[in-house]
Amino acid sequence: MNIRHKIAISITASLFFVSQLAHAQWNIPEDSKTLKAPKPVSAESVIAGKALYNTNCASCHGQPGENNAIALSPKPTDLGSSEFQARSTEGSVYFQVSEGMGTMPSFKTSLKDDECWQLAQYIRSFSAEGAVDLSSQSKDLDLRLDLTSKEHKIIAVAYDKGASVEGVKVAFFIKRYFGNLPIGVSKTNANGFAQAQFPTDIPGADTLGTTEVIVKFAEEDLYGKKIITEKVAWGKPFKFINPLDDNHLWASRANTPTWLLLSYLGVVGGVWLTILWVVGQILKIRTYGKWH
Amino acid sequence: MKDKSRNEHHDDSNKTSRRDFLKKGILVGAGTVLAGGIVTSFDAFAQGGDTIKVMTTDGKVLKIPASQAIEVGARTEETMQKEGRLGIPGRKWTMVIDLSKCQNARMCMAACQSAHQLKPEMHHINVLQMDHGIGTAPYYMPKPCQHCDNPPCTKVCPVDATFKRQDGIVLVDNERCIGCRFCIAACPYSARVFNWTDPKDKEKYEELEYNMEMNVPQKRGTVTKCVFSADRLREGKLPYCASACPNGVYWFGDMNEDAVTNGTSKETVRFSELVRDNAGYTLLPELGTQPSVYYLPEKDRRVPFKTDLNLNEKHH
Amino acid sequence: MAELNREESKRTLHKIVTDLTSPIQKHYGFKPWIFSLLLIIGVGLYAYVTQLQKGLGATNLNDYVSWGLYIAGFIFFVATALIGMLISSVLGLIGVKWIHPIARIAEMIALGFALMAGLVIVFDMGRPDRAHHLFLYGRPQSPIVWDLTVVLTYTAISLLLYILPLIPDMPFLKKTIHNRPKWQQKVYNFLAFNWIGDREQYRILKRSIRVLSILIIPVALAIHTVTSWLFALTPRVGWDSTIFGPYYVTGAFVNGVAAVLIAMYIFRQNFKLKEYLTDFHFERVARLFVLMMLVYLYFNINEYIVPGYKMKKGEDVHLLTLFSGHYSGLFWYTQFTGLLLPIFLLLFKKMRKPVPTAIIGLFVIIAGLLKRLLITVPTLEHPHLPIQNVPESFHSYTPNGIEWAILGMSIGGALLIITILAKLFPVMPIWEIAHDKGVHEDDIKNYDPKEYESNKAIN
Repeated sequence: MNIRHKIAISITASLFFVSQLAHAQWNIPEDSKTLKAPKPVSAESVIAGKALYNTNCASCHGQPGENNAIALSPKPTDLGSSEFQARSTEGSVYFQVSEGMGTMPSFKTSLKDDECWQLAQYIRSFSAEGAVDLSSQSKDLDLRLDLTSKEHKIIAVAYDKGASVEGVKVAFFIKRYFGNLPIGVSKTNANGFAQAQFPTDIPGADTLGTTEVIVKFAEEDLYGKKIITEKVAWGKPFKFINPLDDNHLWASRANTPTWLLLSYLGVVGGVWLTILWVVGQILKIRTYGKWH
Repeated sequence: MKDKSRNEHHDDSNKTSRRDFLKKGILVGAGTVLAGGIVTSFDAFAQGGDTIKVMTTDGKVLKIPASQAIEVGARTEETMQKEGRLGIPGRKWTMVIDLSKCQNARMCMAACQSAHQLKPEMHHINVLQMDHGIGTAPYYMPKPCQHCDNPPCTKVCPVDATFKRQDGIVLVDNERCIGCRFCIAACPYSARVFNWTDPKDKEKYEELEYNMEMNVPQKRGTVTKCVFSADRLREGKLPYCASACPNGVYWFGDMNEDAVTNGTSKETVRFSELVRDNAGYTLLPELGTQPSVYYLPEKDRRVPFKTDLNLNEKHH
Repeated sequence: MAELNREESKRTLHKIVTDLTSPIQKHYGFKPWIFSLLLIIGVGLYAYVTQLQKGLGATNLNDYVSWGLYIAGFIFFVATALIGMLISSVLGLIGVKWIHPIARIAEMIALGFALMAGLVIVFDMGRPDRAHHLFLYGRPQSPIVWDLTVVLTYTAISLLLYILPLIPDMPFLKKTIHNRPKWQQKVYNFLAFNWIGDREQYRILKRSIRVLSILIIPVALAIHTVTSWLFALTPRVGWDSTIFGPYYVTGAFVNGVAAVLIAMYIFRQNFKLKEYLTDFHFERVARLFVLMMLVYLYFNINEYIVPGYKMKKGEDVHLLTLFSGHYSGLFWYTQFTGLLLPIFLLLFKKMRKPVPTAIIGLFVIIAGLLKRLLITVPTLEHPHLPIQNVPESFHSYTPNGIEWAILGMSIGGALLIITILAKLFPVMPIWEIAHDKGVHEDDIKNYDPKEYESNKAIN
């Protein structure tokens, strides 16, 4: 790691080269433009694409149609805008997603091929020809939790006015400080049951292993925003060991290692006692002179 | 409003919480605010009356009428000092930096510098261009403070001005610091910088109460360094740098929960799995500093490395 | 020493008293010297006020090279101060007689430089207004706290080792010095501690000196070892060395002996003490000087050849900077004029005379300051991770005028302290020298200058 360089760099210089790259134009081959996804656009693909978009694209491009891209130079395109949609096809967006250009990375290594297509289909869903009517297919469902304390299984039941519903994707999470940790997605069976196994080695919040489980519909656009949270004591018991309880060289004064404190005080005390003794000797000389 | 933004943060990854007006992360401009932090209620100014200075989460300091501000869980300087030294119980913060994602956008550096009142040459986080010579590929490496578990810097501080908290964060108390710069000399990661002259926009920040968890206002003659955005962690938010990154470089979380959340995508994954599956490592492990910051190697980089530096020239 | 007869004894004593006290009464170029010192200090004060107004940004220090001339100066001051321990303690304890006229000079240097070392640290602080934090919040784990402790302790012991041998001289001063201000008489009176020169008083005095002479050895070793630890306890290339303690201590002896040689020469010429600081004394100190330089050279060889042979990654850039790169000129200058050339020259008897040794001492002490700059700066210019995204000026460091002015003030301050001491008290222990020359104890005890003045009148 010990590399040393004579370097003269300024932030402006590096921003300069970034902007140089970005000024290049997209060069999309004609045959790519006419390319079609292996699977036709569907509610499922658009919803999957939306999730991918929020993870991979939204940080720069913002939300489609809301013109809230971040301040990069040049500004990332609003992918919901009519100008962009007018010059795009499913194939051209797929090409842009997988190849990248300049500051926009290529996603073909980090995303699977069908995920790139799902992204393209989601982005194209903001155009007239790519749009998918989700509302006609959606219906609000209810969600209920059954917990088996023995096997640490989380069972979710999706139902509609008392009747269980089959084939609904349910997502299971464990609540963590900054976000929810996914532990599984499963489709409800004929009884409306979907289940996930609570991991054995996930740390809980306390010595009991208390952990908060969160369950919701994976396709909230179709089935509605239902979030169920439940506390379970299935996590790995966690006991916080405060590193500040011990003495360390790096700790504050209150936690000075005893050996160090004793050595320090012992040596300093010994030396200064001797110094004081010598001062006493001087006074002795003085007293002696006074009486003789 | 605050509650709403919290929920958004957890459940809807797209909305940032930059609407919050914060004074030390506690004062919220009431309802008269646009995204980006601009006060729109100019009437209040026209009417006169007391104005106060508040700081937005993106580091801007604004004057708003006192009547327009609500204090949320007000913390005095005294409590901030006390809590700042204590840390957040039960936590052990960690950061994982994915080098394969970094493409030198430097949004992290900009967000950090504006949040912490830093001049352009002062870096709490610095994106370095690394080149180990023939046979290796150069790469970009964001370098914050490593928040070591065996920190050489706090060892040498003569006055307890820099210290390690129970949640692992190494902070500086710039009301205590005597400016001896021993910690700067001791840090093998060059993570510390010094206020050689008056800090940036001194007058603007002067009236703010000192928040150790931000190290703002900065003070001349004292050391400053990355604080892992301790103020934001207290609110359940990811650090400024991690949130600002457009490329998904930063993962941040609590090692005790074994989970880290990506600053860009807001995905949460197991910390141990992320580091294990990607061959994560720490910087200069031979020094025994035990960093809290992990790096994932620059495999499968998504954009090519470009530099305007002569990285192979030796500095004599 | 052969016993002198009564008449000789008295005359010898009077001559010694007159020779050693007359510089206190008369001025030999004293005013221009004090004036130039005050001028240097004044310029330094102006520079320091500027630094206080602008902050440490008034210097050329930066985030990478955050320690520079001040810290190098601090090591230099501590190093020079160490000489008190070597001369008056180590050599004194093993009964070396020729150090008697030199010991107090060494102790004055120790006091002046130790006191200023404490101040130099304050000049380097970003917040000197918070210096009291060191006492309020001092952390026993920090080498700076250790350093502060030993610097204070060493200064206290040096002060006592200066004052104790001064006590028997006070009656001489009280009797001979009349034309000085009243406060000066009071100081003499106070420091006499009712000294009447009885055996019992000598016994207590000598025992105290002996105890302090032993005590100061570990304290002095500690002061410079801890100073070296300010560097060696950090994981930085070039500082991360296990021999830094002895390397610094031996370097300090070289520096200190050089300072003593210069001071001996100045006192010999200016205070007209040729009879007391003879060629023999210079010859002896020069031999000691060579010995110290040989030991220091040995540590230099270890410090540079061992890593230089391996050229580990990281160390290589640092070492090449010194051997053949940016700092090679300075590095080889300090090695040649600070070690190799002086050792070679002092092999010749002709060179071990007052003038050549003083000149060599001057070169060695200048090289000593530069060497400490070379220990401090190049390491900081080569951190483990590259220096990037900062102004070009952060990549290297050269001290600026303000830093030199403040360092000049510190050296001026040390010289001023030494000058004041030399103007207040004799630079050699009258009683000890008289004793060495065979003056009777009774004469020392009952010295009366009037006796001689009346004798003169008769003659």
